[in-house]
Amino acid sequence: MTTRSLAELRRAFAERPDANWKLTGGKGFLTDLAPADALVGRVWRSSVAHGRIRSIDTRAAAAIPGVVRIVTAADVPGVNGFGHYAADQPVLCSDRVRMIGDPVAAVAAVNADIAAQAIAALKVDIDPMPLVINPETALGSDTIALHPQGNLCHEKRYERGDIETAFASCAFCVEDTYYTGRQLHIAMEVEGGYAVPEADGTFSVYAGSHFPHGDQAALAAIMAMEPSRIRVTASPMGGSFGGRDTLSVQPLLLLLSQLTGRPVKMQRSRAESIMCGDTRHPFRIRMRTGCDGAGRLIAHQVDMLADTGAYTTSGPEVLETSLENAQGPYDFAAVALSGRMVFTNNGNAGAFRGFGAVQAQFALERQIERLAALVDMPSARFRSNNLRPIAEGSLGQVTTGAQHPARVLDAIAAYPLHSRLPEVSETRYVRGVGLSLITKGEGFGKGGPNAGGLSMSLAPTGKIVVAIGVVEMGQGATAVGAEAAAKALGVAQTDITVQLGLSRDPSAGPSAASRVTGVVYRGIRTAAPLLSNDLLRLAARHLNRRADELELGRAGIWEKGAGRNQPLLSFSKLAGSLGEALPSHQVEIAAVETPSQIKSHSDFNAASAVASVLIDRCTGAIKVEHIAMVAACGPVISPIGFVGQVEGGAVMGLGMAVLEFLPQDQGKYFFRNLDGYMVPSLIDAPVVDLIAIEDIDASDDLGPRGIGEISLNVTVPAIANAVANALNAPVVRLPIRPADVLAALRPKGEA
Amino acid sequence: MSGEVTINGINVALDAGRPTRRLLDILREDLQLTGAKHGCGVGRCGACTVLLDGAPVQSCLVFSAKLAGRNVTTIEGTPETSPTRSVLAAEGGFQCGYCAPGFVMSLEYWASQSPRPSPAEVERMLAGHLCRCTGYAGIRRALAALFGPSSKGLPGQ
Repeated sequence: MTTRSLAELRRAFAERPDANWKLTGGKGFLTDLAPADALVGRVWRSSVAHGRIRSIDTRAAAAIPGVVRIVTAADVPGVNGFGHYAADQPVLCSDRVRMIGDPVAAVAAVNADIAAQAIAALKVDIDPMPLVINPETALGSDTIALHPQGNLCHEKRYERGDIETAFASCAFCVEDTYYTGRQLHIAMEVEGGYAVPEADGTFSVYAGSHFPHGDQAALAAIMAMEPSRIRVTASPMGGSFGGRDTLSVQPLLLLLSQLTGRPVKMQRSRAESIMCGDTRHPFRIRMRTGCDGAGRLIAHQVDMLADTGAYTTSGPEVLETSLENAQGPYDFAAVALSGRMVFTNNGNAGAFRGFGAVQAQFALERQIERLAALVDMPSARFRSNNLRPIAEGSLGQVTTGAQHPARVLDAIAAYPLHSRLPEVSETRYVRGVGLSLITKGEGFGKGGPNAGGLSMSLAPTGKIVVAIGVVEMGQGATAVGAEAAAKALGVAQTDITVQLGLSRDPSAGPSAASRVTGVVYRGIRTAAPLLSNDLLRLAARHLNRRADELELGRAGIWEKGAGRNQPLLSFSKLAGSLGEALPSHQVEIAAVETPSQIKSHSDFNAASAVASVLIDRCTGAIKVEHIAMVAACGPVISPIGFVGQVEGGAVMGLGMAVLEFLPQDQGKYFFRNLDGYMVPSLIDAPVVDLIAIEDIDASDDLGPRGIGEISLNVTVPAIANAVANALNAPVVRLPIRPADVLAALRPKGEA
Repeated sequence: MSGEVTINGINVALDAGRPTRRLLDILREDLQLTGAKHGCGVGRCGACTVLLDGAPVQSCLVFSAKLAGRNVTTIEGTPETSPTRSVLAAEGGFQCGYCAPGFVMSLEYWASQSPRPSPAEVERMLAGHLCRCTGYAGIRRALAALFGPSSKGLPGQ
């Protein structure tokens, strides 16, 4: 069994290829690179959560010297909408606004001050309409419809077995309703970028996103323009976490640059980003779960209601993922799952690391922990007694069989924190420990954009260029590409240039669903031998040697086994000798999909975590002290990236579990910046430990899996269980706030 | 008199007519010094940190009117290599890198202090810098390497 501890992974850290420019403040982010003569764009946004636009008066704004152009919905030449599943989110609202922050007009001005003056001078008259703010009543017949199809964004059901008969045979049953919060992504770089009209009639758009090719197609539809006239550069970016999965500034940048014929730049303020950006979907999840007297799970009934906000965005896929994960890795004789995703005027929810799964996993792992307590069985044993056969998917689909919940569970049960919780010396504090076990699907469900392409070439500079249309958002795709390519070719990482985020390179689908590491790795695995052959053949011709006497190595082509201290031929010299006939290979990356005809994931990975918390009985403050997780995600390609994703995912999960709180009323968020919305800081961060199980299965040949989401997902229920165990309280609502803690500590019967 | 501010050793004239212009905008917009980042605009995230007369400040909170005769150092005005940067790179102390220049500026300041603070002290003082990627573990490893004997109990040490 191959596993590596954090200390072992730490010893294998290699500096990331992007370290130098990022640590010296060099220019690299797309919000740093706009031409100095770029106009500044700014957007007029609705402060009304739902209303009819009666009039837009641009005259006073247009009269301000330095205002170059004002656009409204009438200026959008093509489809005035975008969204992966339904193009229902307007570039500029024409007749109706459905959320606070909806864009109605935009300006391009010679500087930021004038752009701000112009926005202030715009007169937009909006007639308020009744609000849809309660998801529970959004589908009522007397509730106003936000879209032509009504307020139901998506619905999904799944049933297996006779649920009522199954419940009748249960000895223990837990039934409760769980709620999860509206977490914000808070990528440190706020959305922004620039667009440039090029001399040849094309346009270059520079703004962070998860999918340059998707942006190109969506922008082409919006602009009624051939996609080939639009070139997108979508990375690097200063974080995303799903927040840039849909378009942000791109449509208006492109529209304004086309209409003015000048470069235009735009970056949202943080308040604007919070007001109009996407959030995690808040869920209400009812669960009723039963087992027999021996602790064998029998019946599981789930009803979910989720709030997607004003537009479809990722709503359908989030709901499907949530339902798919509602059974976790457990085996039930009968299940009845139902879920609805509804439209409201509560801002807009979209893709977010953890993507629907984490909400379901929180609720399910609370149920499991509570049932284990009723049966009076250690919860690790309760879990391991109830695991489904590993090749079987939760919806009946055949999977790759790569998930190993029993292995991660055994490893976490042996972790010292689980058995030896330090005692608390002061009565003011109470400590608790909690366990979690999850599986998580990698990539998109069947039929999703799972396939892709990648090219490897020798560049004129002598660098070996790996080009693929995934993006670098900080997660470390560049390092994965550099480490995998260097290893596959037998060269140094410094010989490799990883080129990401460009719509002109091969598309590889969206950089989402933890799939980038696997896609990049599998593409390189296919392309590297082809390029290697070419390089050796061309070098042999140049050197007048036989190719089998040569091998690739640091900086060039070496004589095999000769023990020299420099290559016979450097890559740059070889490239120079070849003129324009440089070797290049573009390969297809096959989709990993279930052979079953069920819309579901195929490849699942397992993780288990244990968390300890220290709770202050006086203030209700929760200090998460320690999180340890075991993840079975295959070989670790980039240790510094893998460890970083685990540590970062754990702390973002901590934020979702106990810290990040965004109350709202009448469609308005109470907080507009980081002074109100709290994300974890250094003093909130716990100790994070990890064990990576690298040998998933002897027959598994898919290579490394992504760790970006599973690390967050597994942390959230572990912390919730730790708090619940410390307080001996149900804990049904995230984030768990001090007031919830104090309420749980109050003697029963006290108000 | 509105006067001049010295930025990375160069005298820059201040616009007396715009006393509430933020130092961050002067740096990024007027001087194309984009190492200081716009993260929140309310002094919470620390991404725009620069040194003002040698001490770290959030440049989004400093008005032009306060700058006459003072000395500003941005990350572009510091040496490109330093132990701070090396340990952040070696320990996974950044990912997306957007917060990194701010962390670097504060760390350079604390590393220059005498006596040197302990890792735990620096940790508290860095609570004004937000990082959304790393979970701060790589930053903690960097602090341990920079400011003292590696603290016991940290996994990976």
